[in-house]
Amino acid sequence: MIKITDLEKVYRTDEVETVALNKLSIEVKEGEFVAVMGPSGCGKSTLLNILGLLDDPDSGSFIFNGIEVAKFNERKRADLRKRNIGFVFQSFNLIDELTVFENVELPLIYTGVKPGDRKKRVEEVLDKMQIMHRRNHYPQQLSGGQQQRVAVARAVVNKPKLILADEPTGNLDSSNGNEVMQMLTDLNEQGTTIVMVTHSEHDARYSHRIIRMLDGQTVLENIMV
Amino acid sequence: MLKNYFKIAWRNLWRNKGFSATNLLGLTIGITCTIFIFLWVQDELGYNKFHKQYDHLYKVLATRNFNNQIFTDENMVLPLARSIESNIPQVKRAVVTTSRQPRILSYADSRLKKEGYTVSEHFFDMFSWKFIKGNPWTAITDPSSIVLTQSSAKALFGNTDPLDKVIRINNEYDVKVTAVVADVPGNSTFQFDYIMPFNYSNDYIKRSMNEWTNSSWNVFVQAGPGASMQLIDKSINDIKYQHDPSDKKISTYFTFPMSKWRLYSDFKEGKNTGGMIAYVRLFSIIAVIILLIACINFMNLSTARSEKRAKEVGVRKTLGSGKRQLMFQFFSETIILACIAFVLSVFAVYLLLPSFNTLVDKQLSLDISSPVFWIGALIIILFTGLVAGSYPALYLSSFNPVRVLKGTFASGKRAVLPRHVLVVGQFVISIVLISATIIIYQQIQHIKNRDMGYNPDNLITIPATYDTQNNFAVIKDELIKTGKISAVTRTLSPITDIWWKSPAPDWEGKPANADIIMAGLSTDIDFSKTMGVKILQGKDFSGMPSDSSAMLLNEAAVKAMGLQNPVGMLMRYGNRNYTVIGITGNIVMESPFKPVDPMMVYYQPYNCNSISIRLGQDVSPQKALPLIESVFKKYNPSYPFEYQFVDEEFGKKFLTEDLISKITNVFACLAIFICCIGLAGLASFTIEKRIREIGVRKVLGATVQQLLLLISKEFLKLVLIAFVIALPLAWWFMNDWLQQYAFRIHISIWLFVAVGLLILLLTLIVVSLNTLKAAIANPVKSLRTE
Repeated sequence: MIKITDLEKVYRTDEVETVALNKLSIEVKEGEFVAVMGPSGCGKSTLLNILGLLDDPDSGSFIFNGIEVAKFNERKRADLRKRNIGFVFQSFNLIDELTVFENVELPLIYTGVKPGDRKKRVEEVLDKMQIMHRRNHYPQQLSGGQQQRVAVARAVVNKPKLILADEPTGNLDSSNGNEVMQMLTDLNEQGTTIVMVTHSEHDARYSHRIIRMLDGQTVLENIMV
Repeated sequence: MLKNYFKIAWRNLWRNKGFSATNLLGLTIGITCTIFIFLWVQDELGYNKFHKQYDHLYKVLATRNFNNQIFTDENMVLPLARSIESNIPQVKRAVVTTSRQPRILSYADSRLKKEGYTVSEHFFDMFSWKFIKGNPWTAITDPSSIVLTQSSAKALFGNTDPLDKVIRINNEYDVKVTAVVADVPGNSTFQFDYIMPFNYSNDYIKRSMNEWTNSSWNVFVQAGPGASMQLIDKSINDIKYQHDPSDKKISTYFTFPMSKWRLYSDFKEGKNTGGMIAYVRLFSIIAVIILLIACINFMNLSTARSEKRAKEVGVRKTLGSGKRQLMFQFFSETIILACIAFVLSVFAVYLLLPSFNTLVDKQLSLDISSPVFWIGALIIILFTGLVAGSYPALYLSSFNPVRVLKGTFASGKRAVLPRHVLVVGQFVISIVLISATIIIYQQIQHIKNRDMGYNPDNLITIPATYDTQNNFAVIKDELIKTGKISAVTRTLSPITDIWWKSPAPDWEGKPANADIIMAGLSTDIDFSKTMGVKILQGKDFSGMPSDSSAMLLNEAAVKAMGLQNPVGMLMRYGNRNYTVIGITGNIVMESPFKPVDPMMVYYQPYNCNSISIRLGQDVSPQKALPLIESVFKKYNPSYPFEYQFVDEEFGKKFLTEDLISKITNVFACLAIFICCIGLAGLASFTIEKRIREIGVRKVLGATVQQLLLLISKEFLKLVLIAFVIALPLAWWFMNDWLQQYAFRIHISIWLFVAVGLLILLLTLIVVSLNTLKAAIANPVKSLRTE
């Protein structure tokens, strides 16, 4: 599903040049659950951003579903992103001005799903995430665990092929954290490919494979048994 | 999708009440101003448009060249209209009218002075008036008929039917009311209380119908469909020259379309120089500028608080929203805001319309049922929404989702610079407007304080009549005997007007090329005493028999004629000789903005139309007027007692300038007010952003003053930059404006210093008020919020 080869990304300021990705090559197969680990500044988040088509690499190849997307423009990337990729963030990133229902509905609006279908699908996913009773609340009215459940609901409502999770349990206590990890595992078992960046060895154990990074390169790959 | 945009827009506005209120206030003021100016402009542009034949109506004017003095004249000979109508096939109708004339209309016990026109037969076919009683076809077929407006009919007859009632005119002859028309709209060039037909059996009119040199009437033509106006103009000239060949080297006749009567009424040396259109343009520009200032507020405040919305933009982009969709969303927010502001503005306009009408002396109304209103509303809302939303939409939608979601996003110089440019722009406009207001005010005061050459205070004029002329000696005697009146005289025209202009008299040594047009005034004894005119050399008329061949000249005449020792010189005017017995100071009778014309004053008590009465020193008009009235009631019984204060009449010469002064004044104040609202908003955001810094500085020992200075410094710098840009702009604009006045002020640098200090002070107050709360708050609180 994902094949990146010799990917490079350098951040430049006036004085400093930071190499975030250094000729990185990774492959992720459809249906895989991959955890990416490494110390701060090793390039995990940059990798995730490029995989999520939020950022573009300086050089190298990125093949997504058989298509070279490294040189896609903003509009094409947005189009591909909204149909194929769901995001789960550490800080949830729900829109404060929208209710739970409306937050989850948003990706469907952007992909042009009709209002009737939208309602059905949002309710379905809220039900599955067990937050249906909170559908009319605003994010500030929810606990962290509930907010992340909404965020996961939002990530999956469009039935994406790939979910990118950036430290999804970082802001949660252990029981809420386990709940979210279980949700991701369930999604993966239903066929969704997941790439998750994490600092937690505990969370990483939910995955099939751990990619360990340092200074913009892969240093080790552990296959989980 | 659209619903989602509006929903989030509405919630955003609702949640950020302070931000929304600040923007709403600014936009509402801006839109209210725009609506008011729009109403005023619409009224000006709509002048005379109610006439059904609007596009086909013309007034005949002449460019006349008397001794190289070129001017444009509307006075035509009486038979011209009839000749045009019968000889030019392309003209459908031609009408001749008098200029507006006051007449006394009497019925039973009521005697009213009303103004109106005497007109030829097709007047009501050509111009469209709303008939309430009677009809346009038979209204003026009988020469002894009269058409009244609704309010003059009501004033004369109360609620009884005015039709067929007989009214006495000027106590001389009777006419019958044949029709009543609705009161003339405010935006009509013709303004009248009555219309009467010419009486062609009257001796004077009969004579005038064969007289091709006496120009005292106004002529209008209605062109036929597809007529060529050049051809009509040429034919009019041909007709006139045919009957009066000597006119060929003096006059060129042309037709002036009704659409230009109001807005392009000024002519200079035979060329059209515009008129009200200049102010229509100026105020339209001001309206757009004020709206722009309000829009800039919105842009600044939106981008200033952009960090708060950055996350939303990031999330939406991550979920697949394109840049265009985001821009659309932000535009929908400003358009909602503009809609709300528009609704509030409409309420404000309804509330303030009476005051605005007083200000501009019009009867404007806001008709929300008219399509024009809705088109205007759409234009204003779209303009406001798109302009105000443009920069924020572009700026916000360009956020990089990776950076904003990571939290590393901070609006750097990229965001601050345009904001600063916009703030400077706002202040430049405000400083220019305020400087303009002060300069206009100074210029008007400068002219009002100009030495008028006479004393307009406590001076009353009363129109002379046949009776007052006959009884003048006894009237004057009785007035003086009251002890409240210090002097009485009479003149050809009131002191605030010139009715007689002619070429200068001849004198010994007059250069052959001396083309001097002089004003003329006939008067009685006590001229200088009553008017307060200075006699610089020689003496005033004293009523001696020799006065009938004496003349006074004013200073301007002595200068124009180049006379060395004018007193005692002989002048020949017409076929008579006059001796110059005195030189008066220059008297400003016509425009106070122009130099005084050379003038000659004759002793001709019989040729006077205006009585001037000087009240005694410290005598209040309230005490004197009843006494004057009783004298006039006694000796002029057939006329109602009417009088004018000369200082008020003089004040009317400033109507346009006063209007401009008032309007710029109001708009300048509003512009600076909107700027201050924006400044307050920006200051509070700056403080919000720097609250931790303020806390830390306080902990480290900063005083409140130091903190105020810290925050104010940023804004004061912007105001200083604005000042440097605005100064030459304001000077250039206003210097240009002043060029139209012969008597003008010099723009002082101190004026700009004062304006600069005023703006600086305002900035300091606005910013300090906002900063103070943060500066005196307990720093522990702000540090804990992090």
